[in-house]
Amino acid sequence: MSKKENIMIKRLKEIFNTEDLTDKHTSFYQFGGWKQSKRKQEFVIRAKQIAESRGIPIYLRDRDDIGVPLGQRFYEPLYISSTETLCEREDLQLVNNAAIQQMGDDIKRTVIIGLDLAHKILKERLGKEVTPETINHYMEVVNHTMPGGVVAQEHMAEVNPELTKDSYAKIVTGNQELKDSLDSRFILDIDQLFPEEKAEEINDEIGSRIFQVTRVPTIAIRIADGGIVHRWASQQTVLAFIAAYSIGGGAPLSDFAFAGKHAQVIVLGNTTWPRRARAPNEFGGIPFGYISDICQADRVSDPLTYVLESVALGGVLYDLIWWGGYMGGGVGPVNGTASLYTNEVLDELSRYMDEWIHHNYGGYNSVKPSLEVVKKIAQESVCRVLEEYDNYPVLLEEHWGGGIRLNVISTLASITTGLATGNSLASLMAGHYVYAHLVKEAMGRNAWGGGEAVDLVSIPDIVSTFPDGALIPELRGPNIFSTMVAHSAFPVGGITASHAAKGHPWVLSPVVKVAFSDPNLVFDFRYVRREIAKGAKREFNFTGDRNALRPGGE
Amino acid sequence: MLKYPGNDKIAKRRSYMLNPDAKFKKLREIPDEDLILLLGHREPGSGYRAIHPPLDDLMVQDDPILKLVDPTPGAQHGDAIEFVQFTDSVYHSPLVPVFRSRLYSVRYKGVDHVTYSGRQLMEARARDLEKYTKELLETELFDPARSALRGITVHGSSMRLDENGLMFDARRRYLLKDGEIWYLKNQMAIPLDKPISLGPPTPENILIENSIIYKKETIRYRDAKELLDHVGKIFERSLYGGFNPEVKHE
Repeated sequence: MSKKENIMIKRLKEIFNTEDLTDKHTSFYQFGGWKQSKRKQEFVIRAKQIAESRGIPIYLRDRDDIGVPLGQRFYEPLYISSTETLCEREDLQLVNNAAIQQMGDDIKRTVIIGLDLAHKILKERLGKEVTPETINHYMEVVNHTMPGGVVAQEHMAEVNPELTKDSYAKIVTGNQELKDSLDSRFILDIDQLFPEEKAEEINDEIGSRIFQVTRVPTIAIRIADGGIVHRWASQQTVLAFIAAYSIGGGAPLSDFAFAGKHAQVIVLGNTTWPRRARAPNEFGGIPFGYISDICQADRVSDPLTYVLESVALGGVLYDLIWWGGYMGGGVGPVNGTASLYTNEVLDELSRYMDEWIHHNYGGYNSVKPSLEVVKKIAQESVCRVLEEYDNYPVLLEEHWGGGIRLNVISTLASITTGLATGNSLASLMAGHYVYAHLVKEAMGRNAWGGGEAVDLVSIPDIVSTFPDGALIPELRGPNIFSTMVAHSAFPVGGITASHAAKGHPWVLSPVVKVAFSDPNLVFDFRYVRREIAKGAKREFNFTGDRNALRPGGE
Repeated sequence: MLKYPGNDKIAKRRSYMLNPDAKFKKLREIPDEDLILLLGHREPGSGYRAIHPPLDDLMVQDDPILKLVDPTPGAQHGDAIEFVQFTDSVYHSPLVPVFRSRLYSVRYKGVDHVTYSGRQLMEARARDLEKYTKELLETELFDPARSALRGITVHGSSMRLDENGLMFDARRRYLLKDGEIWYLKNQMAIPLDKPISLGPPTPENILIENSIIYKKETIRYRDAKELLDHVGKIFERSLYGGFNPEVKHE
């Protein structure tokens, strides 16, 4: 293996403020308790002001008689991997990080509507002409209606555009001629946004079909839930058609409503199963393959970086926001997901395994998937990390919980298997194998209580294609009963890796891939970790706020 | 007797731990009163909380379970269910969560347990729990520096050790004084009226000699070939069984 600088080691030295990472002894109880955290100090000062102003106590960190005395050990900061951003755990907490919230918002508020059926109704049923000019006109109208403008009915209240300025609609098509004749403001230009070779394949796959990528305003999903998205988008789309093409009558409108709300609507997330019941477009219903497509790092980086960015996206979206935030309840599992994208740990381990693949198999997508290969890669991933824990006790301290360790190791095994075999099913097998068995028998300890249960169930289900057993990996998600409660990073990583290994321009849907290449999105999905880092530094400009409604707001 | 896969010393030690008839070496004496104080569920000398009358006093209708299983003393008396929780250091605590769970399952009657990564929770009828905890504390299954009683704020299992080789405890339930570990607080971190000694820490070489953890100082996991083969087989058979349970796979 090469002797390149080990950035993980560098980061560990920096954050633990020590040159010796091999000593398994240290000192405790001398760091000033919670006061070693600048953020907690800020919170305490602010809490006192709030308590005084509202007359009810809030956040009593400075009280000794409430809960655990925090800060008895060194409260090490975190580097966001691939950046120079150093932050505290508080900065990666869901409520404290605007970029993380916007990452979820930008996905949740997206719905894609196929326009071909609507155009067919216009032409064949209503005898209207559909030309590039009429489409341009329609796009102007829909960019008026989508943020809350009224078209058909008089005496209606409208929405202050300052509150919905992140709402708009754009068009995706693979038809070059049509694209050239449409107003460029409304086009997601595949040729401009993707490398030439990938653009060609995406254009070919989408062909002459026309899709409208629709963003409802962030504030809409902050008022309601994901279920509002396709309804809002459809309503405003239908109204835009009515106005742009001067349509009246009941039956045609019903046809449009059907087309816009159901027939050609791509919601990103399906309704979740009853015990976790949530509306469409909530994260629990989004298949893993879409996350790989939503991540745009493949447009600007090498395959391994793309995989790592997708792991950060999947981990934060599914485990921090979805499971930790509003399924599990509580304030969210920051540490487990942060371990996937901080201190260069997964990056460095992945680089090692990347070299291991090249050494053992010759490169990506170069070994036929088999159980022997899955076992060999999973085993090497586990042994490598356990040996790093042995060599660097601070790394084990950094991974202080089994859930953290299993998250990292299973993801490492999954992405390595995906890269080596180009097979997403094999990548999932490796992740489950690590989670269910391999670490447990080495350390005599595993994840959190019962944490591996889903993996034990998933192994026998893994090759099933019964809808309530499993699906092809790309279509699975946390919505599948037997898989993935808070174990969602490794399947996303493995699936992304399997396709990245083969150089595929998309994973599950070329349209979703293009939809998130949009430069007008608030969150830049090319650089997931960089965006989270901006949020940690409080430098991320988010949308969906209500500042315009405050006294003095505009 | 169960044989854990492999012939290395870790595997042998694991087999020994999982033998329900094993007679574990007694290393320390914990008076009953101290045990009760450490658990913190009742005052020494007080009776057990009951959740139902003794089984002999209950007008139990024909109960097939009673014919199959003798009730434990705690169940017989109608004791409330109480808990004990141990945290085990990655640095060669004599027993670790997954093996606690397996050991409890083959050795103790009437228990329920949850296995976490650093800690293991056991629930049982109060007098049964005290009996089991006594064995867990007094024998080679416990080292006062690397295992700990922790009902709350359990973290520390993966931390580096302090200058004295003790596992970190944010609640500082214990300290090393005059060569012995003294508990100043019970498992719920409530201060005790008197310090309770659990004896001296086990020397490092003995901990490593008796370790059940695959690690650099013991045996590298990648060298545990028989174990890895065995685990691989479990994985394979689960997978094939789910894919097609009708087909026999070797």
